[in-house]
Amino acid sequence: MPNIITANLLRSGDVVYFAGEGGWVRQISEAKVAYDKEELAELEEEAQRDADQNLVISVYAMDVDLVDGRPEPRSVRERIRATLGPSV
Amino acid sequence: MYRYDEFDAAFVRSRTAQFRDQVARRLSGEISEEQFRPLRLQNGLYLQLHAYMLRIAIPYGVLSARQLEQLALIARKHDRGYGHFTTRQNIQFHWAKLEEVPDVLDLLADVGMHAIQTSGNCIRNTTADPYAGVAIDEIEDPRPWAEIIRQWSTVHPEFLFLPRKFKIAITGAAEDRAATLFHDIGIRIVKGKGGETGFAIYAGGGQGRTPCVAKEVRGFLPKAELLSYLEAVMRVYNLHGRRDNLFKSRIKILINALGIEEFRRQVEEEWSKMDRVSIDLPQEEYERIAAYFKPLPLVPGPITNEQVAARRKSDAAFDAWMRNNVLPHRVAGYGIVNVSLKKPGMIPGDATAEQMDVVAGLARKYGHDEIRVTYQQNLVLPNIALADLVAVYDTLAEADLVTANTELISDIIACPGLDYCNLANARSIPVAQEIARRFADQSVAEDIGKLRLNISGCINACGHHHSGNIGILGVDKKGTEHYQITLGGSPKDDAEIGTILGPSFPAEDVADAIETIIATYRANRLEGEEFLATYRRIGRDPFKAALYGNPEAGTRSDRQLQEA
Amino acid sequence: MRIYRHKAFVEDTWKKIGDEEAIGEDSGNIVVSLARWRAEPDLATRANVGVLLRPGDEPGDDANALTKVPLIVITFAKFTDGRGYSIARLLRERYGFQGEIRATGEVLLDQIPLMLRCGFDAFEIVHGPTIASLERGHLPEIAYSYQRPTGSQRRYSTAVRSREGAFVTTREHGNGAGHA
Repeated sequence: MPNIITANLLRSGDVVYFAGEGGWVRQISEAKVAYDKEELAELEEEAQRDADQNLVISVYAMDVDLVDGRPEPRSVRERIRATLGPSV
Repeated sequence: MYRYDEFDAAFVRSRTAQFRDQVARRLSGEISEEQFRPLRLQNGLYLQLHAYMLRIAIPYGVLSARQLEQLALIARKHDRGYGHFTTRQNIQFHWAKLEEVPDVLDLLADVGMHAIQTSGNCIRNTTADPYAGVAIDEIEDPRPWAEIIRQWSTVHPEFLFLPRKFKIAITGAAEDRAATLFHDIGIRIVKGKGGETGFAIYAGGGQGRTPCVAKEVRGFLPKAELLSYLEAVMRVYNLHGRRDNLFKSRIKILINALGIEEFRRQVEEEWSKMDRVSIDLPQEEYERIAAYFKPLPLVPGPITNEQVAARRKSDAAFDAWMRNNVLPHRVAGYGIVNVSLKKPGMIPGDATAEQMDVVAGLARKYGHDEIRVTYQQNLVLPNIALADLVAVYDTLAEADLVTANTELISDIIACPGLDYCNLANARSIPVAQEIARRFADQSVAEDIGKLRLNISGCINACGHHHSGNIGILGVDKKGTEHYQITLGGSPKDDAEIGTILGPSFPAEDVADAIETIIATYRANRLEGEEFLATYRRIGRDPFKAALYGNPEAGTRSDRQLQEA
Repeated sequence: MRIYRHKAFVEDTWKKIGDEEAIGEDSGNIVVSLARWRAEPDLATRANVGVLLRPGDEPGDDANALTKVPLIVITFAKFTDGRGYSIARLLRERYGFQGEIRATGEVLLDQIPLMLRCGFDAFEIVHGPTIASLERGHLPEIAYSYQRPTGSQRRYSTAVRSREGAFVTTREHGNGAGHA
């Protein structure tokens, strides 16, 4: 905790983050943050609907830290992933 | 080289149409992601860290100029202008889009290529000696058999849902340049008692969590019986390989559990009951395929060339390139040219579309239309006449493809790592780049001499670090990237798995550690002794002591002792 | 339950009997597990008893006896479990089984062509989209194969064998299509 939801677009494979009503976005800073288990469960349910609609695949929750109120990835892996490209 | 005939072409087109249909059914939701995933994997399409990755088969590492040009076109049109050559002689595109993949497969089919079975729990690309057909130490060209294995294993209906992936490698030379003993099945062409050639069959080699050197299953198998024997091995594995644990599903686990004698008994029993006539190739079919691999009609020529000699005297870089990257060819007056994809600062194994076009152009103009891909993630122009070497060098040089480091320390084998791969714990590319930078000086690298340095970003070991003379494994240590170093591995006939030296290093200390290891080697080596030989002679301790042993050496050692 | 057989859906005339269930004299066409069939030898004497192989079951020493049953059902607990393909091929090619080989369990559209090539004749399908595709006559197969087919296409493969066991079957047919 806190968490956000991430996935890949089915058609293009693009990494995306779930922004709730804002749909799926490319910039992690715009992702909707869940602060507790209930919020996360709700967010996951919404995101899963888009998976069932064949919009996204590989939906999962990830840990974030909040910097100036905006989510930033906690793990090395997600930090690299959030730059939308390799570090080199 | 093999050229698709009507049947092969129709097969690939049919498979492409089938996948196009499967993609359409996935996009419409008719099949779920869970049901689609094995299908997409069987067509080489992975979901990776940033995007889909498409892995295209380059059967036994052989490409025509036209095929390489098509890969360049695909890189430009459907990817981000580059591709990555792998330790299985394949090429990967890291920015594929699912909806475009059927079109990419059509472009591949146009040049007799495909992405079939480059992923999934099936028989993968069969790899071979990259110098097959041209090496001076060749016993027999393995490529006809590599092609035969390819056809036999392609959409073999019985073996598309194995317990796990299955990798076969074949070699036909005195030196094993295909790492056969680290494959699920390794095949070596050997001479029998009567002087005829046959196959020695090994099984159960592999990298990963439980690295193994393959064990001999059969010392001599008549060539005509290869396919039925392979089928017997596959059937024993398909029926008895473990399916309960993803990490214990390779054939090496089965062989270790049964013991090699019992495994061999099961294979031989299965083989003895098979209707082999219906599986093994008739002689005419073998000859039809072998005809594609007839040696080129190269005319032997003088082994010295004035232009080359003069240029060597006046141009140190060209001289170094000749010394390291050009190997003697079976035919006098020709050379095997290694095209290095390891320029320090670049991503090891990557080539831009422009670079691919340059190499293809050289193959067309000077190279009898042929290119090879090596297990070390470089390219090869296997048939260059001595008289053309200067022209080839100059063209390659303009494209940054002349780093004179074949088999040297900066010829690093590295998986894409956490920069690209979903499975990785740590990045491998920046580590490779820093090490290459430290050893970029040509005279330093040549003084160190032949050394295999392999980097894997995780225990799946796609960088084959277990068989590196120096192996580096990326691990996750409390959320930060750390690297464990192993020493003493070898992928060749003297196959061995490296030993871990000690606690892991943070990313910023790895290159220093490698420098310490090299310094230890240089301090202890005998005249002309290569790294692996020194290691085998003096053992692990001097290296361990240099890296970890001295508490007065400073904070780095302290930190590592605390971690021990 | 309908069975997909020879490109059509037909009613299933066989009934699977659990290991503990009683079997009457006039039980009709029944399918029992391999374990039960082995444990109750008199079942092998009845003409209307088929055998169910669960994942991991192998004919073993009973292979020859099994060739006399009318129906063998092979279970794919998960479609990724490929053992059934080997079992079917062995039954057809090594033991000359002439009865029906049926696939059950997680049977999906894209695996059916592979199963056909390994000797399966019939399919118990519960996956809706698979049924829908098959009802439309849509089977995503490749017309070309590098390997000799087996099973219900036995007549075809025998014809090929007369050409001295040509490995790549379709080559002998000009540029034509593969299996029947």
